[in-house]
Amino acid sequence: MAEVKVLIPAVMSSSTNGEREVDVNGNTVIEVIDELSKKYGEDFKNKVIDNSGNLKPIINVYVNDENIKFLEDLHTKLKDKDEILFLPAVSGG
Amino acid sequence: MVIKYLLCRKCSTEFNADLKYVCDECFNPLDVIYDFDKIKLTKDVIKSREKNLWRYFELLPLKNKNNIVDIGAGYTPLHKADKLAKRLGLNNLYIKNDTVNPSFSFKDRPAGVAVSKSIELGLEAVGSPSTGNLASATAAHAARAGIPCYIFIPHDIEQAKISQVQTYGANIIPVNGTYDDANRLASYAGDKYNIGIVNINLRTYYVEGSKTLAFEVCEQLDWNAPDHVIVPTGSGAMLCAIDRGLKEFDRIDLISKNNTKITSAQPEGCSPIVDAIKTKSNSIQPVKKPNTLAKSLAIGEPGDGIFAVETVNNSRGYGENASDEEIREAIRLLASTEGIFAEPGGAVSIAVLLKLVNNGKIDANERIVCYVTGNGLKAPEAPFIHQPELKVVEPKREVLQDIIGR
Ligand SMILES: Cc1ncc(COP(=O)(O)O)c(C=O)c1O
Ligand SMILES: [Zn+2]
Repeated sequence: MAEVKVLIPAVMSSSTNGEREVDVNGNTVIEVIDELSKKYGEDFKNKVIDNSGNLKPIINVYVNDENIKFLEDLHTKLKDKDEILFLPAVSGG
Repeated sequence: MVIKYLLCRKCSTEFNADLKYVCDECFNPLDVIYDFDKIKLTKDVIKSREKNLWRYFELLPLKNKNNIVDIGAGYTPLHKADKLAKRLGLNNLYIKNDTVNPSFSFKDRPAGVAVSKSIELGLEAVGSPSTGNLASATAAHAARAGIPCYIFIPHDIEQAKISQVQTYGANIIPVNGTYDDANRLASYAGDKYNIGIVNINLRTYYVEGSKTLAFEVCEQLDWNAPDHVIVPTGSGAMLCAIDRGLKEFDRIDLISKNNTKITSAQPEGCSPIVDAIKTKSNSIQPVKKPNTLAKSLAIGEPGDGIFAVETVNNSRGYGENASDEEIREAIRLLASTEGIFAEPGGAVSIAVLLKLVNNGKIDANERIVCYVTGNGLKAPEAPFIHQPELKVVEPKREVLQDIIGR
């Protein structure tokens, strides 16, 4: 299992008991999300994953600053020390 | 202003009007909801006010007029483009000329509102990630407010835009990457250092400023909504704001009906919103490496993309894109027929108008407004691939006969 660091923005930290930097284990992004749900409750997963198991369009996830949409999405593989950043998809101009 | 609350666009949870930009429950964007029953805004009151965007104060998200940071944004000309219209066989064409804002793009509207709101919220610094225009608009307003400003830009934007920002005295962070990389870094900075990032954590308020693009057009058309608007689109925020502006004016009876078609105009090298409209998709496929002359519209992951697609479809408008060459032609056509000099991002609405006319999608009598949102001096090299060469002459009277010859 890869040991990775997860960065949570303030707006999402109500789902992680206020924690903003968390070390977890997981070989893919979805495994990390499952791991976070084990730790903080299903609430976290429900907020980022839709009913058909896809990442909600309103969330961007980056692995080492690369959007996972340009990688292998939720199945993007992880290695030790990778950084996973969650951000609400807000941008413009 | 008479704000009732902030409302989640998706799940309808209500929040107080603080520094909040996404819903706690579902992370969707929040909209400012006004107490329309309490708003007493009449045509006469508006007409009697100062000629800037704050003439619509009741429909802007500020509590106290003392917090306004004003450098004269808004109330730009609505130009009846008869020469261009004649070329295209149209009878009712207008240009909303937002090239003449204080920092020379429409971004003075959202940035002016956001920087004012940051003062009201007691923030000590502001900033923005930007493709260039927002950078200047934010920096100019921050300068006037006397607060520090942090600007995140892709390192390869037009030099003119960089000098402008530097002159306002902002801290510039040129990022070796795309706009979306700059955006991610700014987003993180806002979160970590409690900076008001105008288009991220102040976004709920920021977008309100662009509603004035709709308010002014209605007022300038003698309190009528246009039949069709063509809107340069990057993140989709301005397009959605124009829609909300029309709806709010309708809601408080300042216009009698609102059937305006809203068309999104994007450059071919970065048109995720137009692509979704054309393929009737309800999701946005991001563009990893935008490649376009219209650098100000090079936003590959448009934050309001889905909402812009919905807005265009609900209004029965179109999505259309234009190539770099079509944009160059549009810049030259607009300048040479109407005397308005636009940057590529601002002229894409004209390029798209030409295409819609050619495709038979425009009725000659439609009252059309093309938003022209950025000034040509921001990208002075854009109009020509090969600028026509000039021949230097001796300052002698004889040379005139050859040149003017009449
Ligand atoms: C000149 C110009 N026009 C239009 C836009 C598009 O605005 P939005 O990102 O709100 O769609 C931008 C910036 O993105 C711009 O700089
Ligand atoms: Zn919500």
